[in-house]
Amino acid sequence: MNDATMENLYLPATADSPEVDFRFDAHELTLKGESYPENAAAFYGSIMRQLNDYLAGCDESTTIKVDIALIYFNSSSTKMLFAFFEALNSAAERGVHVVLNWHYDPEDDTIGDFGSELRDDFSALEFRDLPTAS
Amino acid sequence: MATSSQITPIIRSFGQAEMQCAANLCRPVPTVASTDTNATVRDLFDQHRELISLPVVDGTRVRGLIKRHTFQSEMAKPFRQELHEHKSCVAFMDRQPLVIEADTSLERTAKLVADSQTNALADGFLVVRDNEFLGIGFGLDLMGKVADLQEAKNRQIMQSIDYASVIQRAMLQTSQEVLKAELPNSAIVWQPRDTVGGDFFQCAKFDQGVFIAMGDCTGHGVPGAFMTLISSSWLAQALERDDPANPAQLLGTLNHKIKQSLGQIGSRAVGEQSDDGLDALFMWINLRDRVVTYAGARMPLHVLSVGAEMASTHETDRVGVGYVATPIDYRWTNRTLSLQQNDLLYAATDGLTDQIGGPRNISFGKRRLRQLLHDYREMPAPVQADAIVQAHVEYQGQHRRRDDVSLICLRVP
Repeated sequence: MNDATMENLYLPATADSPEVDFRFDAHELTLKGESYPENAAAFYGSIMRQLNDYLAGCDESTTIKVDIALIYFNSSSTKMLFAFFEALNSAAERGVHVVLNWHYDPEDDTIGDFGSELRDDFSALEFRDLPTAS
Repeated sequence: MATSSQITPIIRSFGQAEMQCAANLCRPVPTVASTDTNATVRDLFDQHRELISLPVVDGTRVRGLIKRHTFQSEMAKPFRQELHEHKSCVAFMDRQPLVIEADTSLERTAKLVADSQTNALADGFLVVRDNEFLGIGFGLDLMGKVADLQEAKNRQIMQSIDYASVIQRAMLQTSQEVLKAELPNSAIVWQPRDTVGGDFFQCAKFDQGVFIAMGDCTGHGVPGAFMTLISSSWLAQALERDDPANPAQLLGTLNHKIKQSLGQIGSRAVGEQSDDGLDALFMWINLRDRVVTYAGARMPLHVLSVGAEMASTHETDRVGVGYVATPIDYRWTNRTLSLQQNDLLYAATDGLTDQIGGPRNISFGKRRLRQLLHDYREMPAPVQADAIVQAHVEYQGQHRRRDDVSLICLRVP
């Protein structure tokens, strides 16, 4: 396990990028806000590297709690988010227990529909649909 | 008295904004020599109320800078006046003021001033040419000029983008005319977020019907517009060879061409590889038989049939055109719908449905779009399009526009 030595990752939200709060030591990963940075690949590049390093150190004994509360993401961010869930899904297929809490406003059909797609595409994740009014 | 004081001439060489340098900041101020006394300095500060600092210059050599606030607070102390009045003015002089070469660019000057340890922003800085004193510059003037410079650069970029917009609109104009001619009861909305954008549409007339494409390329602004030009050119070329009644095949051809031309097939280094492409909806409308054949990449077709209560949303393949992750030989699916006269067809880019706004700060959504389609179904297509745009603007309210927004609506003749 290398999670003891992994530095947690915190990036505050900006106008066009989400709050990133990855507490690797507690196995809690949170993304919150909006995502439409000018260069999504650049923004998510280093986040993905750290996530992959972290996941490499996780095994069947690990339960990862992922909380996603995004209200907007553009198409290039969507691609990066798919890569993010793909990485989690691969870990889940190896036996890591990954819970994905999908938070959204019940009136928001766009985010609700996206969640359904994720549930279909990444079946190894334990998907929890959480429509909660703010 | 201030016998050795002199007025430095203003240097008036206002060339182009980008040619400006520290010399352009020189203000005419009195100076003193190191042989002048503190009494002279005091008199000068009294005579020139606006004077913040007084350069000490011997001949053409800079010695230092006397700052009004330092000088006055020193002289205000008990007995200082009596002790120092007839002594050399160097006593209260800053011996190491910020000195800047006359031909230093404005940006560089701003950086030096901001970094200086001597509070040059408030007290001023000395400008020299080949070690000869030229004048004093002040922070406010510097800020003004840097702001002008930024504005000039901004203007230049905006003029360039405005012209790019003329080209992009010209390209769309042709398709708009084709659509109007073939389907008079139709409307197109094209609203780039940043003057130019990544959305495009393309219409072409054939003997048997009309081909209509709506595309939403990666990004917006200038990179998005680049992608629309690439996509639109390849699509126009594909339409000359492929069957326009087979939209799935056209998506496949476009996918192949984009991946090939942007080098998404080889093994370029990650980071240098383009991972761009587009979401799209391609439609072939056979006007004689009233049949639509459509194929799409992550863009749905909305249909409001004459007899239906609400519009139905027909999802398409969830695979984008181009992009590294899309296989080069991916085959999209054609779907066919029989139409009746007066049925309504709509295609919109996700900028329309995903825009954040409303009282709950959530996306506009497909449900809201379908409701609007229902509410305005009896109206001519241009009126419907205007109503949707109006509702969208109101929904967006004070929020920032997130993406380019495009919409095609048409009534089957």
